[in-house]
Amino acid sequence: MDAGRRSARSIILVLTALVAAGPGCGGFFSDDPDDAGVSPQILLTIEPDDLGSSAVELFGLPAADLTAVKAAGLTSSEWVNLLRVSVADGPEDATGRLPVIGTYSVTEQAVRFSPRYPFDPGRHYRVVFDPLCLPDTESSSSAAWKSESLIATVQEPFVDLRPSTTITRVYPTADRIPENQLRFYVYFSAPMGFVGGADHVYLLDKEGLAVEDAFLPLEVALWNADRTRYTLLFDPGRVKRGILPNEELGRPLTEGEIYTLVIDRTWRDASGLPLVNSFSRRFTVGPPDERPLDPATWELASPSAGTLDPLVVSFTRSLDYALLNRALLVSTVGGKPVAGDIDIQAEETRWFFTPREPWEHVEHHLTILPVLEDTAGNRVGRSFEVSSSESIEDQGLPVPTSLLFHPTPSS
Amino acid sequence: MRSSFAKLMFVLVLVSVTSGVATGQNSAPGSGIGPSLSYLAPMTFGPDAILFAADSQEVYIYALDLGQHVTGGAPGSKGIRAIDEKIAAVLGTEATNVAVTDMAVYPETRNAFISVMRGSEPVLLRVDGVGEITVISLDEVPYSRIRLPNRPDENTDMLLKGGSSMPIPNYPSNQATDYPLSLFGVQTITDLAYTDGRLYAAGLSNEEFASKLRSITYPFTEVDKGTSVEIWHAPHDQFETRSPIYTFVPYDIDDEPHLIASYLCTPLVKFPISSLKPGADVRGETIAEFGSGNRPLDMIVYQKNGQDFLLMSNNRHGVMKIPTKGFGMAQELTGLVPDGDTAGVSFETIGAMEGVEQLDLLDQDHALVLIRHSEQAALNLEAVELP
Repeated sequence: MDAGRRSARSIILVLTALVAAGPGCGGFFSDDPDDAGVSPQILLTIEPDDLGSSAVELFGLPAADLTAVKAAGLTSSEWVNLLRVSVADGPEDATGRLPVIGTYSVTEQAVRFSPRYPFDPGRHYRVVFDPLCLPDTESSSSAAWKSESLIATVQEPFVDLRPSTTITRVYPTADRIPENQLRFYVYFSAPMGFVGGADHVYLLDKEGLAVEDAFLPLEVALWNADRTRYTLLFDPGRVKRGILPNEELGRPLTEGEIYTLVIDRTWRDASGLPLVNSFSRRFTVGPPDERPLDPATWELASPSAGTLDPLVVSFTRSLDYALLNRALLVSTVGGKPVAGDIDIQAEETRWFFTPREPWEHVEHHLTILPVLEDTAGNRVGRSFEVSSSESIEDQGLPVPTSLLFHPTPSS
Repeated sequence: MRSSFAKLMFVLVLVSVTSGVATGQNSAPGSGIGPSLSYLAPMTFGPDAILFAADSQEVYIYALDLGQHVTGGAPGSKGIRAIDEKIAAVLGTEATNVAVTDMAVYPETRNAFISVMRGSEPVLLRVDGVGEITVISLDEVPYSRIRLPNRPDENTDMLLKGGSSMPIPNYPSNQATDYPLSLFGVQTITDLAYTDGRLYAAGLSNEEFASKLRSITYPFTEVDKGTSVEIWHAPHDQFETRSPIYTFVPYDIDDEPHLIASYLCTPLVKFPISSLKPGADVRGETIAEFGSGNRPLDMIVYQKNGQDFLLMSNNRHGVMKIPTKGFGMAQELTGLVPDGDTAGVSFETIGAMEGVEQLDLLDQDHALVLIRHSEQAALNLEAVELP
């Protein structure tokens, strides 16, 4: 490391103290006037070109000692004895903490500790340099500084971040949801942390009391790939009929009642910050949806050929928002997929598909993949709970189904 | 918008179902050194020094060849009080920034391997017989990996009337600009188990109410990308529903290999491994039911006094000890036990093990647990005598 580079670094809060050397490495010392000008110094340094990559460096060692440290091939425990970095809650409190894991190296000017994981901004770290653990050199000096451990507390600047993540949407959007609703989707404006919603989401009844065990407290959280959407599952053991939790407690939602979904702002985002606001939504509960989806009851408003008008499909009940984004496909009857953009409206009962190129004047397929569900898990031709008199085998394998429409030239 | 109601034709088309076998690039195995993980859990040990670990965010399963890392420590796993605080100290932070995601004991050395998330960084640690906590540097660990398809195959050929076929893209790569491809149908892997050269993985969808149980040969090969089945649940012969499996353990019943599994909706079921055929709809046979709020977390099988037992940790009611000798004969549950909060094969709740968050078999007499003795307490690593 050259001096110019060092000067470009920022040097952060350092509190330093000298104490008598501990019993770590033993050794001897005496006053040696040759080393009178040397005084080692511990600094926290941040590479300016690599934000967040900071290191602890011990400057001011005589060149002979630096060379000796470099040549000594220290083991990891010897390194720790020489220069120990540990978490300190406060400037002085770190006794007995295990050392922070990282790598040690020797530069032209310093002994360097680079933590494996970046130091937390605002957190105090205690650094102890024990000169008695320096390897012997030929001209082994016995300067005064070698008799005392050097202790410093270092800290990266506390970043005063304000919460900025909000809940943008929650599906389903309907004011009335079926009693056997299986899930909510909660959308966030920015990526969240890995922790799921178990401790942050509540279902309140009309008295404002929490409904116990309404949601499944999964320890694997059901995020999407960038953690901007969380799938909140009702406890399926309570939603599904005929098993013990359902028999004991009934469904979490009761037809005719009013509930409030509350999401507490203490849920932390990917930066570890809480949400800007808590979220709440009131809804009422309707009868359970226990029928399979029947596309024959859907209405297709066919667009005109040669236009960019959307194809509009209207359903007889709300369908699952996430699946509506991937389970309906448009293609020409010859099999050519039609590229377009999806919009979902009217409490997830209406699906708009706007093509990128004008509609061709040919017959088209709207294909429904078998994964499409309503909000209670019912699929095309197969309800979520199939009664034993009509076993799933009788219903055959789930297959894609298709509706035809034919854009005609506008008059 | 000018539009007319289209002639509404309902066309039922047949799909040429190949099988439930995954195809396509997503599931192609890969290998290298120094895996780049975005999440680390669940984990289970396989043959030699192989640690199977799921990156359930990216939906890969890794076979990490830990090599000397599994033998580098003193044998055994020493209990450590407030291990969450000690792990946090080693990682340079505080315990609230560290979430333990899984724990697996390497059977040869009985060292504990603990996976944690330090914020958004996955970390693998080893605890040995003298209680030393070592961070396993994954940078030099050789690995192979296989991706579970988190979306269906690219196309399904639909056979149209008259014999012509039409490729149907199974996800609309050409649609929905605000809904990038990577978000489709992500599955989260909830459990892994290895037995007889095959790895079993349960995956839970974050969209459909469905899960897939997959069986994959190891070493991962291009040819065999795994078999996938959908599991069904038929409680009391009343209703059948798709039923996600949450956790499971391989176990031989009357010399026939089975999986004992718990559903997301709590019942404990069994099914023979031989039933896991490509594309099959498999029904688990209910052998026990637990009351509400009981979500099984981990299961191990052990022997005591010549008898086999299943030990199951649970988010609500501590740890349950279930003798397995009735599993073969257990009649499928056909009704609820009146006034009881459980039904099916008998079991005993081990109150002393309340607060167990992770559980694995340590040796023939002990389980290793990560346990919190009260909600506010620190997390301890403890070896507990098998009940």
